[in-house]
Amino acid sequence: MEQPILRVRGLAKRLGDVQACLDVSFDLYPAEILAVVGESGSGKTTLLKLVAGMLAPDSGEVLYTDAEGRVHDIPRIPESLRRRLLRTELGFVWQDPADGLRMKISAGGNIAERLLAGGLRSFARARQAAADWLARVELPAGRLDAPPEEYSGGMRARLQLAKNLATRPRAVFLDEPTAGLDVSVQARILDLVRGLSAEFGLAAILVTHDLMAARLLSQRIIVMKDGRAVESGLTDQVLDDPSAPYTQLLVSSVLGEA
Amino acid sequence: MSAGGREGRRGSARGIAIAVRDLRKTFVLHNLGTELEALRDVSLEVRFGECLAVDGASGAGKSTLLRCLYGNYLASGGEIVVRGERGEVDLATASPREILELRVRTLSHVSQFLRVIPRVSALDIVAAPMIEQGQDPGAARGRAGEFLARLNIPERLHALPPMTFSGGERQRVNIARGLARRARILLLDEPTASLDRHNRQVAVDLINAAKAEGAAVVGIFHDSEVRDALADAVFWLGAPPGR
Repeated sequence: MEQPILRVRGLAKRLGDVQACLDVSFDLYPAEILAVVGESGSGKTTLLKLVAGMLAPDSGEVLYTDAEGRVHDIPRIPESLRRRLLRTELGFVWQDPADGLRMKISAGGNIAERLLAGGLRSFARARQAAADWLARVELPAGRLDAPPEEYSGGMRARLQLAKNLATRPRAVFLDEPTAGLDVSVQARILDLVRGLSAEFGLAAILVTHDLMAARLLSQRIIVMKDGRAVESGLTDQVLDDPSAPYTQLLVSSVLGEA
Repeated sequence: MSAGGREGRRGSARGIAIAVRDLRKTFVLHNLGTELEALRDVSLEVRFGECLAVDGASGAGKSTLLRCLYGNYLASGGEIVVRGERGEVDLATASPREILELRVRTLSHVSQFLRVIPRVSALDIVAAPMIEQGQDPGAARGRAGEFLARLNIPERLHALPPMTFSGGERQRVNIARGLARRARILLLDEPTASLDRHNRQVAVDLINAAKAEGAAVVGIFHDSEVRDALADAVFWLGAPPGR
């Protein structure tokens, strides 16, 4: 069978008095979308930041196999290499797009910057690619030169996604990418991620409290509570036949069908 | 609830597609502090090219059994051995990725309700499983269109997401999705429940064609005409009527 691109083993992190993450392990495979669900404070965003190397774990490994087959333990590689990976082969989509965008430079500049940092030499080609990505996330071409501070929340979310996807990363880390967005914008974002995963093997970790988004997008799911993975498995199996008490509570708390 | 048995014409000499042994399914409802036993001591076999109808009173666990055969419900005990392309897989103990692979190549589950995805057209809903198998997207969409047309979904609807379709239209999209992909094992949960007479016959013809190509079928068919047209044998959950 195919090899995972990410192997996470025994991740643990204390934040003050809180055990924000304890003994979390999983694999992520190419073209696979893994959902991490749980309530606010369950540790799912902490887990994502640990995996992306934005927080240093107290213990545990995050082994990433890059495009050339080299293995990097993300928390233990030099900061410069980690940053380079996050601009090229990996991507991190922040819950608040203002954290992932430069708010005062143009939308085109935001995307082009990542492409140029990823090794593209021609500014003209970067600009053209930026325009193409704007179209893919269904932002009007006329907004290419406007800075994100003039964008609505939904437009910023799509721009941040375009910026991260422009370098054709192998895996993206998505922190509540649909939170607070109109249903139609949510659908666009989910559709885009699903399409890229099917089309060129993009893998993703989707942190969300939205069980419907998890069901539509992910093949596998991890349910977190108090920093621990209380249940994991096939997404439809875990949501339709939950076994952990907390998962049963979470699923039965959803209005309507998740 | 407990296993009954099967009766009917014996299948051919073809290989066994699914072998269930002593399957048990118990739902533990933690917040209610109770357990529900849905299936107990269920054993059955289905061969390729054969259709097994699952029957029993309402609440006997027919849909639960079908969901267990798809890996949607996790078995509490026993074995569900499925013959996949790479050999036998026991759904009771398989990893999520093994089950996902079986679902791409081998297992197709057609429920009564189509899960619609925002912005995804009827044509793409039907084509998606074939593209996932690695088929050429153009060819997959072509076959998807043929199946939708055979099931009398007008061509002008193919490009639309089925959000606004009627119940019967949605179910026909669902049947097209489940059958167009040439799965080796079909799990059908009342696939014809909301179809008119004509479309019911189209669905029966398509399912029989899949059988003739060697697919194993396990289905719940409330309509006795449909069951008689498809089933080689009946598996009773609970006691068969009249005994």
